[in-house]
Amino acid sequence: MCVWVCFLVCVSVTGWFLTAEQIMTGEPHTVPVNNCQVLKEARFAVAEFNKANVQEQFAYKVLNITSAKMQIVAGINYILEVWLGRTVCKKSHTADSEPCALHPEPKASSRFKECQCHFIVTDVPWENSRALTLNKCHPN
Amino acid sequence: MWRAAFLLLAASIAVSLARPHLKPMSSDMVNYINKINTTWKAGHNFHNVDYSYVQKLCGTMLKGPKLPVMVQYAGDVELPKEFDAREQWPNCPTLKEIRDQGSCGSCWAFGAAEAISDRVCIHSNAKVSVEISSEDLLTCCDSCGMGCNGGYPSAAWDFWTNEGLVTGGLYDSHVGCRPYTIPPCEHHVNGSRPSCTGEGGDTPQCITMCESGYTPAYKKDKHFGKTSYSVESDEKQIQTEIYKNGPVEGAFTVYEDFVLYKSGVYQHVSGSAVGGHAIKVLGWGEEDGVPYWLCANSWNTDWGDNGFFKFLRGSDHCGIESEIVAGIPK
Repeated sequence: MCVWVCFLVCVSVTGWFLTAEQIMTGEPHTVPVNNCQVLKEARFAVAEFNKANVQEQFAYKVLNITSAKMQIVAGINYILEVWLGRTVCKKSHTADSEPCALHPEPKASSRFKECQCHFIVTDVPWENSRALTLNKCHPN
Repeated sequence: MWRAAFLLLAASIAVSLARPHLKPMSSDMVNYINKINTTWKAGHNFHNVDYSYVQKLCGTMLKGPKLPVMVQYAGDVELPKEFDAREQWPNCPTLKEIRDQGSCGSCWAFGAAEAISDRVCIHSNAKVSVEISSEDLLTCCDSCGMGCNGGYPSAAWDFWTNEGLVTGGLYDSHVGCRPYTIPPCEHHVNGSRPSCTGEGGDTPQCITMCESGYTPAYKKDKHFGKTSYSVESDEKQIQTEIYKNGPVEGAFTVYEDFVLYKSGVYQHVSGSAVGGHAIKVLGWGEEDGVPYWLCANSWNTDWGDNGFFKFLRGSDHCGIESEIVAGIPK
């Protein structure tokens, strides 16, 4: 009985806090980085990053996702902070860099081995479309 | 008392356990929605993916800066069973328009600019018919919040009364002083790269000048509100406000199933919350005995019912009746 009373009190207190909080419409919300959909969006972002990274012959892959947010736009934005690592797989032969091993050492031809990226992937589910709308990376 | 509370809780847990756990926004979810014979239909055209979520409870949201609450004397108003502002004011073309916010969290600016455009026309007896600029509101209202990263509908209406808003149409329309500068994601091109790249979450600049070739000057093009207010969270009050003065701006919690809406009266049946969203409410009615609000979204015309949707009315579903704001033009 006591447990239920505690539970009900907790529920009502949580409800009160949620009501009191200021939330903006259209605001991004943090979501867990290990969420299945977040991982899918990150892989899509890396594939697009690899396509755009024309000076590099090797593909990069996701090392770590440090932050993930979701936002309602005319569709859904996934706002991701991702660490990428250079793999041994050649871009020309690689659709998915996920199974590739990391490159043991940075080559002279490549300017960096790891990089930190800020990505936004815009999904429009009813259009069946998805795009990397922000691709900002810097070497570490 | 506690026994009753316990029974209620146990019942609600049982109900939630009985509900199938579906992959969000998947074909399974569409099939589930269409099979359970609810008040609306879902569409099939989307990725077969599951969506992550933010846990938010229905009806608890969006406490923006407060505007004075307008209480209408509703006693003398005979409200019709059905009302559609598009039919009531056929000479105001913005009532039929659907806009597109693109890949920016500017719903709050769209809901306001759309309803303000309608009201400017309605209150001038269709003598002044302009498109109020979502761009001007989105980019120049600092007190509204965070631009493309979200904002408060109430602050948007307040900005209209204090600073005014210039005209401006859709992206690339060259209509008005400041048309929208964020492109819509490319439509009807399966699998190709949408054109909505480039803005990267940044809010465009507040430019206090009109597009070249447009007259009058920026300052002369400002349209002002006389008053702005919030409407009491009451069905009759909201109906009276729309009936007397035109469309209002509302906000609610979006759940994953809402994105799949095609037709009928939407009510949340599946999936988790993805965040707060602002829209325009332009009427009401009943479909097969289910009361609804008639609303306009800012996701272009290929979403939902040509860009419009019907939303369950009378039970503050997902908070729809608790954040209604409006105003009267000068």
